[in-house]
Amino acid sequence: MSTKKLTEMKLSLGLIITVLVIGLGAQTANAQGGVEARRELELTDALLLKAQRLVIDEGCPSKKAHELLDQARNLQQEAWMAHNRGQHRLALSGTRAARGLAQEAIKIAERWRFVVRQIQSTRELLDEATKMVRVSQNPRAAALLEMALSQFERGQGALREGQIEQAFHLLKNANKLAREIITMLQQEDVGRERVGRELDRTDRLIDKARPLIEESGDEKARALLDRGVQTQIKAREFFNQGRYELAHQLTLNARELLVKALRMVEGLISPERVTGAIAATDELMERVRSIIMESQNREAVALFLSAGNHQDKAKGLLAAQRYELALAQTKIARRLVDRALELLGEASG
Amino acid sequence: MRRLAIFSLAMLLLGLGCASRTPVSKGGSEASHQVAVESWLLAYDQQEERYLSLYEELKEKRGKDPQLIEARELASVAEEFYLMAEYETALELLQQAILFLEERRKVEETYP
Repeated sequence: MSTKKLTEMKLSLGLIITVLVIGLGAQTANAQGGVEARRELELTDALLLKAQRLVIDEGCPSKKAHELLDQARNLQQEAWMAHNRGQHRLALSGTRAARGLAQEAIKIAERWRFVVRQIQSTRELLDEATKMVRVSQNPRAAALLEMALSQFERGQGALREGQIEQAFHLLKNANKLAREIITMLQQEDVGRERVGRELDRTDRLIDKARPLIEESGDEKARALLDRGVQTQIKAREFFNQGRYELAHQLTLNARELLVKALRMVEGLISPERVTGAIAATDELMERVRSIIMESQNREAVALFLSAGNHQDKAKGLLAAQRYELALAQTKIARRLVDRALELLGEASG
Repeated sequence: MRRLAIFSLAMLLLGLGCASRTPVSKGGSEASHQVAVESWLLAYDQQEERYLSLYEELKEKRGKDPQLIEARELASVAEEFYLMAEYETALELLQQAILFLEERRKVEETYP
């Protein structure tokens, strides 16, 4: 065999081997592409099942969701056919597109489900807000309620027409407004309660101050008392008009006038005044000690002993020059003695 | 819990005490006074709510208990001082009343 022929044979053999290797490689690649496409197709099938449950079985009213689901199903069907024909690349791109559409349909259906839940909770909030507005008669709250109710109605209408995105926004706004109204009126309630309490306190101060000032015959104090009472009357008027801030301010002003008047009559809390008060309590306690301690009434004895503790505290505080607290402690001691005597059916005189 | 409440009140009293003692210029004095008064009123309101809830809870079971009577008198004198704008004293007395009631409640829980 000539050298030339041998070379030709070698070349032909090389070519055959190369073609065989390329063919084998292509077959393996195709088989691998088939596995991947099948896996992706199955994933899309699972997602389409979910989309069907949400969009069809649960009755999502969105036309768009139904259209998207139909398109997704068609694409998926074609993708399976391509896969069965061995066109795995085509199958892969088809199933991925189908999956994207199914995901969009699911998103719409889930939003619809949220909106349906939102309707129930918003209706409850609006009922609550309506009741509160009726009671409070607050015009701003009433205007907000009107707006909230209108958004709610429009939201429900949009939902009936399958306009889920629009319904979602309208109902979200209605829900937010209803919450705002409730918070606003709750805060108003707290304010009213607090101011009402302060007004009652000023009334009690008037009741305490009036006899003391009238008995004192101090004309300046009397004039202050009158101004205080007038200011308190105005405060009540504002309170009844729902102007709580102003009522609060006025009742505090009234109280300042009353305190000034009382201080004119009672004097400031001076060491002398505190010493006098402590001495008076001492005198009372000495006078009734035997009555209470020999009474065998456990509660009365306990109260008397506590009174002694407060009286000791008062003396300590007087020594420490804490006159306000000292006066307070001796007052408490005196009151406890009075309560003990009440238990025994006696009076301190 | 109780220690925390006492600590909070101590800090509040300290803060408010400083506020009430801080000298203020004439121009800003009215506004500062108003703010200080508001702070006292708020603090007193909070403590009073605590006092009232404890008192109501215990009154059901032990209306004539000497400790309850003592707490009530403390709170009543506290209000007298509160009305006379002696806020620091009022708050201290009210806190004493609360402590009495908390002690009473502890006894109630230990020996129901």
